[in-house]
Amino acid sequence: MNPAVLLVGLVFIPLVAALVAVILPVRFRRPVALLGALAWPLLLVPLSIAVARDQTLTLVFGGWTPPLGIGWRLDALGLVLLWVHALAGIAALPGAWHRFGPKVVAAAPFWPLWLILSTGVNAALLAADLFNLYVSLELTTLAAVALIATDDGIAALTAAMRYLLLGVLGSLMYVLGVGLVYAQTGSLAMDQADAAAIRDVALVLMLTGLMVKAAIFPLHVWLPHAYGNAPGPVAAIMSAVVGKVALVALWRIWFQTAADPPDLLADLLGLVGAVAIVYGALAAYMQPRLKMVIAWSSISQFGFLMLLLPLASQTAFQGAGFHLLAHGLAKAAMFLAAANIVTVLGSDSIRHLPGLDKRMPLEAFTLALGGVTLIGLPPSGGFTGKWMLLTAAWEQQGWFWLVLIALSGLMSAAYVFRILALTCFHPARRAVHELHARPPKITSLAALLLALLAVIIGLYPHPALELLGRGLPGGAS
Amino acid sequence: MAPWLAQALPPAVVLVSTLAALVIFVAGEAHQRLRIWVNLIAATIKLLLVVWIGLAVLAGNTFMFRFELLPGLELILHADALSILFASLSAVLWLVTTVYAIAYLERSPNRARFFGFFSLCVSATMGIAMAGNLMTLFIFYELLTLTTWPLVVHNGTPEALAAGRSYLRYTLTGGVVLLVAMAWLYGLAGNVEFTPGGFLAPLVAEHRIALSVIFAMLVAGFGIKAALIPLHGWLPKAMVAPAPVSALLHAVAVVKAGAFGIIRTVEDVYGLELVAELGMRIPLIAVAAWTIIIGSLLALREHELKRRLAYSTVSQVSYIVLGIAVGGLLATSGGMVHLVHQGLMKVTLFFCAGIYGLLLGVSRIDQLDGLGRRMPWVSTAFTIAALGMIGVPPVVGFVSKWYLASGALAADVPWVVGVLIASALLNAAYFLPLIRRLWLTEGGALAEMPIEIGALSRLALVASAVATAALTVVLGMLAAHPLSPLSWVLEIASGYAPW
Amino acid sequence: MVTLLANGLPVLAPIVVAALLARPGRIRAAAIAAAPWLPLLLFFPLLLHRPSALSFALLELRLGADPVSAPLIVLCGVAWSLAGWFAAARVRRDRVLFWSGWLISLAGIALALLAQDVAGFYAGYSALSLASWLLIIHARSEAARRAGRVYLVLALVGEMAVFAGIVAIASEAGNAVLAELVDGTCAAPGWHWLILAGFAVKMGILPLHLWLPLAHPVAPVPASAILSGVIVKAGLLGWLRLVPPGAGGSELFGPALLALGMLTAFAGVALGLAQRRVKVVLAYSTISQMGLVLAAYAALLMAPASFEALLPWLGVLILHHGLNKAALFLACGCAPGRSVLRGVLVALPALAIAAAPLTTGMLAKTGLKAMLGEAGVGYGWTLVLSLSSTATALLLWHFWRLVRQEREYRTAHPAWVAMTVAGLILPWAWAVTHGLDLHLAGALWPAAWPLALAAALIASRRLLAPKLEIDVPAGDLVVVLEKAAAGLGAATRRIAGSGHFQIPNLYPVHVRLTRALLWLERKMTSLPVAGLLILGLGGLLWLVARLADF
Repeated sequence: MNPAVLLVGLVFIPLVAALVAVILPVRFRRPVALLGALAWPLLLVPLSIAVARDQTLTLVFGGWTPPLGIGWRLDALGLVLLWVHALAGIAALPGAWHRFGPKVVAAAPFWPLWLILSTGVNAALLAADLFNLYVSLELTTLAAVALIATDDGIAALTAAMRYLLLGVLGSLMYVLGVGLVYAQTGSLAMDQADAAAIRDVALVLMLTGLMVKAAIFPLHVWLPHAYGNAPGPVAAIMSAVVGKVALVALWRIWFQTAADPPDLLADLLGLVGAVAIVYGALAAYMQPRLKMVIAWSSISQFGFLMLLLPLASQTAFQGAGFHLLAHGLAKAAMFLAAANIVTVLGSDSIRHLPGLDKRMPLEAFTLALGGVTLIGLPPSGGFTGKWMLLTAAWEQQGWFWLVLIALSGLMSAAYVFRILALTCFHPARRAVHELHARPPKITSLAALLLALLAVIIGLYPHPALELLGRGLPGGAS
Repeated sequence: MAPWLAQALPPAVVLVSTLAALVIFVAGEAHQRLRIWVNLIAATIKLLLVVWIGLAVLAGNTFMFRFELLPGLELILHADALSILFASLSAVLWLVTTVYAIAYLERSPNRARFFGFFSLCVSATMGIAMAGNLMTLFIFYELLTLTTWPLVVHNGTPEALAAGRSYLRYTLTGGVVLLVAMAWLYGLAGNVEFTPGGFLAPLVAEHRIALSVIFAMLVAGFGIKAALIPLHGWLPKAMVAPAPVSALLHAVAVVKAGAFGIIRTVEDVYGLELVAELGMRIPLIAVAAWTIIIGSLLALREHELKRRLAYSTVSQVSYIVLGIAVGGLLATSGGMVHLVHQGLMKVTLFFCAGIYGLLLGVSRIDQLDGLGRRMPWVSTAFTIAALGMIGVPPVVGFVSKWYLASGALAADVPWVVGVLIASALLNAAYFLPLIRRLWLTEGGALAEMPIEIGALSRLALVASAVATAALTVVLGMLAAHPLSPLSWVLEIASGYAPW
Repeated sequence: MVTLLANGLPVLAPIVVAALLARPGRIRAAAIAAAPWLPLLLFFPLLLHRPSALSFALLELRLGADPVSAPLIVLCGVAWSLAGWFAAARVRRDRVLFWSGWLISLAGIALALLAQDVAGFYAGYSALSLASWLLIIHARSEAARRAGRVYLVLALVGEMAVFAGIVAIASEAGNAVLAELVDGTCAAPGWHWLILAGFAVKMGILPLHLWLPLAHPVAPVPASAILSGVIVKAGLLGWLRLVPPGAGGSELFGPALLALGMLTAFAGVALGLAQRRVKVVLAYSTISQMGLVLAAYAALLMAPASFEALLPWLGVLILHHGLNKAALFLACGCAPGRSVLRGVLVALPALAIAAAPLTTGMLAKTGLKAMLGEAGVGYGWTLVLSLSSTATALLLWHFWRLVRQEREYRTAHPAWVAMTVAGLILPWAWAVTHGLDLHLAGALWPAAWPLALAAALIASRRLLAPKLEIDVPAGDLVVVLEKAAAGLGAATRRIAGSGHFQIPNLYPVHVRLTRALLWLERKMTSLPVAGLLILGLGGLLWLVARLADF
């Protein structure tokens, strides 16, 4: 059997489960959704083996071959992000299960939406043509907006609204670009035959649109509030994959669709990433709420991923791809831990953090481990990614990037250690008033395992690096 | 020796205390008895393992553990004579400091956290000692930063937090500098193990400037932990931590890790000859000399006991760098052996300062008046260690100075002798008044602190201070013994290319 | 094993006994009772005369007595024991402090005497230097503290000079065996100067004598006795050990050192005559006498070939001055003015120091002249030497007048008597047992006329200038130096200001930056601005892409 057939499952299992969940009464939605969310990751095991053997899997529907046909493609980068999606999603389930029980009003929309989000993400990662990508991204964004709004606070609603507006604006710009490409070349395929046609307006429109969705500074304004106010599991999955899906799309368009984009543009985009790194870290350092700190940290870390454009080498791709992996796991873990803290304290204001290490040691430990990866201290996944990027910068004598990458860890350290110092060592070790019941231990353990994983992959990065070492996105070399 | 043992022992040495830390963390605050036993047993096992490896290395065995971390980038743990030197120092002092810390913190909160990180810290130190290439060294160096920070801020006071911030700023910056330097170096030379005499000589024709810049960056990166002036700012601030932590910072782990890194850089990455060819040897000597003098002057100005000791560390640790940079059999030995000697003396001083502080609330120098009579054992230990710092024979400090100074002359940098002498005089100027106050000045009646310390703990505190002080004298008196650190170091130094 | 024990015991025993002082009660009493007699252990290695090497100890320690250290061992064994006996009876205050200083000094000098390697010698010497500080500050008065400060500064600086010199030796030969240094292969002459100067501090050679006149009056009587009688001579041992006659280039120092020695001899007298306190006068007398010892050493440097032959004469000189000076110091604690017998007991060593005929002083002068003769210096120096006796006599007359006024009731202690007797006998015994040619008849007149000259001077001064009184503060130059140091300190403080010198913080965190960033973020979050930003960035990207096309 052609393993590419399994790709269908990645998209349709969550989709079907979502449809089933919608039809069923509210109290059945949770178990059905759970089944769906646990089922599709199983496919990743045979798929990984297949990708390891064949490099890319391609599935073409109805015999229509590209450029006209709709097709799915799974490459190493997609596989890595699928794994992040699967792991972060599974780790988020206990928390979601606990929070969105049948008695909760928001549970009715939550579970189907959760599955639709997975559908969208998976489809976006598999999309082999520009329009397919647009549809999947749109699906993802809409599901994410709705999920953010399942939080009952007014802040979440506002954030969801802003995300919706900006997200749609971004989508529009992207689709406009796609339209221009189609008008010029008559093809929607990612690999354009006539690369010279993809220049200027079309490329810039697509890039800008995706940058809005990926929350690259200065187009990040929706992100802090959206992540900071979303329910914990949602924030976790969003930070781990949703933003990155757009970024992966951006990489693909850059390396695959727009063959030979101008260097100057690459440098400019890298520079934008550099500003994002610094700005995000500074802002994270100043936030008064834990989840906001973590959210801002994402903006800083996404900036990192933009550095792939100017560096543009195999090593850099390995580094960026690995960073994607490590950061996804660590960030999801931290959001899950933060979610538990909010559940217990009713607030995530950093003023309530002192003394938390006693009450919630697992959460504190998770934050610490995740922080280590964010800073990129060895031996952690974050370090591996950073090291590869450094090497890439060195190979190209890109001193500016080299110093920037090195210094970025320092800036991350500032906000990470601020949180740790407050949590574990602050003198005002005030008694923490437990306002709410402690969530079940499995939620804490799931977060911790995820954070541990982010560190452990740093000790054994070979499989991922090997996969990512086979060529740039889209097979370009 | 069985091949699997030769592979397994180096990581085992590192992991023993990691395991201890895990047990301590998991057991939590309540299980005091368990924690004490785990601590002591792990420390003893580690010491035995180090001794075992040391003897095996002496017998000509090699230990090597490799693990490919990234393609072309290996984690290497090995055991050469230099590793054993540092590892045995840390293992011995860890055991003593653990005994001391258990007693010191008998009544204080958060002990599980403290001892957990304490053990992790020693794991990282062992990793540094056993590291077989720069990458491994760097990884454990960063781990050390991470694991010591919780100890520095342990008290949780605003000063402690500020000290922790300062510590992180300095050490993480150092880490970044190291990272850049290493990435650069790996780009030039690839993944090369530590090689006595260095492995960069073939590159010098092509990359002279790059190698010089990398060297400066490596020294600066390690120099932050080694507290080379002006990179020393974190050290005096970190004095707010509990006394066992200070002992750890100053004698067992952190400062030593920096110095050890410089040793490895100079001897095993570059080789002193290459350093000299790059024109970096004299500047390195000058930086060390400057740190020695300025550190002592700054110490002279302090009126807090622990801060004075901190500046004294700044000054003394640079002896190590000085010896390495001067080079030659004598000076190299003097520098390396000071790694051990300074550790023993400084740990004693901090133990004593801690006891004064804990039992009598003494923190300023003018409060030392007349303590000799009240605490004769502790004060004797303090006196011996302080005299050793000045370089009075037969305490170990003398042996270091002897080799450093004669090595400087042998290597044709006679002005270094002047630096050493000035430093000895300055040491005398800031230590002798303390000794005078202890023994010869009538003291006011200081009340005992209201902390209740059990008789056994009190004994443990005093015994650890006395034990290390005795060691400083014994090692000094038996310096020529074949198993003394000095003989060991002479063996190591003769392995490096003579300058 | 027995050899090792005999050689090691004089060093170890004092340390063990010092440690026993820590236990109050019977053990401490027993320790103090035993302490005075420990120096006698030094005779074991002297009699055994077999070295032993401890290859594991220190930097390969070697112990044993040899001809160079022999006279000092005898002096130390006798004088230190007798002074200890005296101290056991007289020192009542702060006994633990006193005896620990006493015993550690003893261990130090024992090691310095017995060590046959450079490091061992230095170890002993520096222990001696530091521990004698404890003896000086024993009174804990302001004066004692000042004396201690001056002593410590000088001693440490001297020690460091010595250290620099010996590492120069070590840089060539490692921890050299002392006997091998004679070959003159080690250390360049430049380093010799440092060694000589370093030990000169202990000897009280001009201008490094400052500590002696301050330390002696404040130290307890027995401590002054050993300081002046024994410890100062450790400096001579240092010279002989590390810059032995015959060491490369050392003969070049001879003339300069000879001149310096004579200068010290006269300057010591001149300064001493201006003093009003007995022990200060004695201290200056010691300085003066050490000038003569330096002269002897200088003569030996100039005649390295006859070193072996002249060594017994040096022994006479050492024993003569050490014992007699110790006796004079002990006298200060025994009210010598109270009876004729006591007066005689003071007069005998005083006359000996003044080198009166038939005293040990005359013997010592004979030895000195022999040395000068071997060195081949002119007759002028011999004359100067004789005149120095005149000067010494004047100083001791001054001493005599002062000491006779000490009538406050105190019992005389037998140790004093014993010391005096030892001073009378031992130098002679030494000379005889070493088979020296004494030239008794020829020595009488040269010993007599300087004294006669001194007597004449004293008589004439009484007639001519009865009111000639000059006051020089004890420690002379030190007063000037202290003032200069205080002024310098004040000046530095003024210049540096009292403010602390701070290493600038590398990470200034600007509050303004925080505010600016928060403001910026607020603005950017508003939807119109966000939209504009999107368009702006898109436009910028487009512009750049266009630019790149050209």
